[in-house]
Amino acid sequence: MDAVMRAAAIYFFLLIVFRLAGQRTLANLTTFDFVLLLVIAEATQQGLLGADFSVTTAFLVIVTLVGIDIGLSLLKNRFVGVDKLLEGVPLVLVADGKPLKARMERARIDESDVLMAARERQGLERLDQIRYAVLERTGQISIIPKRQPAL
Amino acid sequence: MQVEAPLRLDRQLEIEEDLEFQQREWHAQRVAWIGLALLAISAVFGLFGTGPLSDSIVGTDGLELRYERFGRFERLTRLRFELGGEGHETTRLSIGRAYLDAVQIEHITPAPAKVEARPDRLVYEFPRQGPAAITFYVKPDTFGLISGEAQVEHAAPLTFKQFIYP
Repeated sequence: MDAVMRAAAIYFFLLIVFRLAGQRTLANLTTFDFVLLLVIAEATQQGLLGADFSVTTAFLVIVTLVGIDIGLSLLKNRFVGVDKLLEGVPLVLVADGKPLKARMERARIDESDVLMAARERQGLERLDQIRYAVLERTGQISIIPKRQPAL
Repeated sequence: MQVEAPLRLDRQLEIEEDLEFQQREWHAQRVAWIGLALLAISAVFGLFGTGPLSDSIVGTDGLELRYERFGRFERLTRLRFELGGEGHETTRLSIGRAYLDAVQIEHITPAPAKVEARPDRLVYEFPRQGPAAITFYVKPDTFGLISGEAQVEHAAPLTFKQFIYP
């Protein structure tokens, strides 16, 4: 009972905090983000298990976390509203090579982030080679290159 | 800040943008950031224990208690009893059963010479000379509001309340 309540409380707390922090928060994992993630995991673990070292508690915590996750995924599938609420919506950042400045600013993304994604994923060199750049719900930026003119 | 009107995307990009929802999300996020900052600041000032908002004193010259108004589940907190007056003999400090049921006493400094159980309280005996301080280190076993009652002979009993966060 105790372990289940703890796990559920932690699950929803983390869900809310990371949802409110924004998609980009830990999306492209720099070394420091990775360290931060480990520290957060460590802080969570204490509250999750307390001083209880039993295998049963570990099982209960895992089952609760996975169970809530499955439950929410079913809800997300069923209701579009829940899906948007929990996962957010995708956002077009660049259309036809033109950056949509206001959107990018609100989403805390600058041109260099878009260009980095363009280099990494498509090997593009300049903004005008991008047809669309989309901030996905995962926080990743996906790039659709302009079609090369036929030779 | 207003964002560009929804794009008239050509049919090539099949994407479910929802600018209205996105705007509301950004707004909620910004409000929440302020909320998170306030939470951290209030924690620094002791809203969740250990800080000026949490430190409290009750009692009179004969018996004074310093304690934390806010505590946390299974986290050590201190009750510091300050005994005034010219006691040169044994002081008997009693603590109500209700409080002792809600916490676990980790240790007491100085250790009592004797503990006596009574139906509604425990009586601790401390030999002392002059003004003295006795500290109980306790760990709350429950959460929510707990209240305690303490008394020494020849002084008015004092009560205190603690809120224990889960």
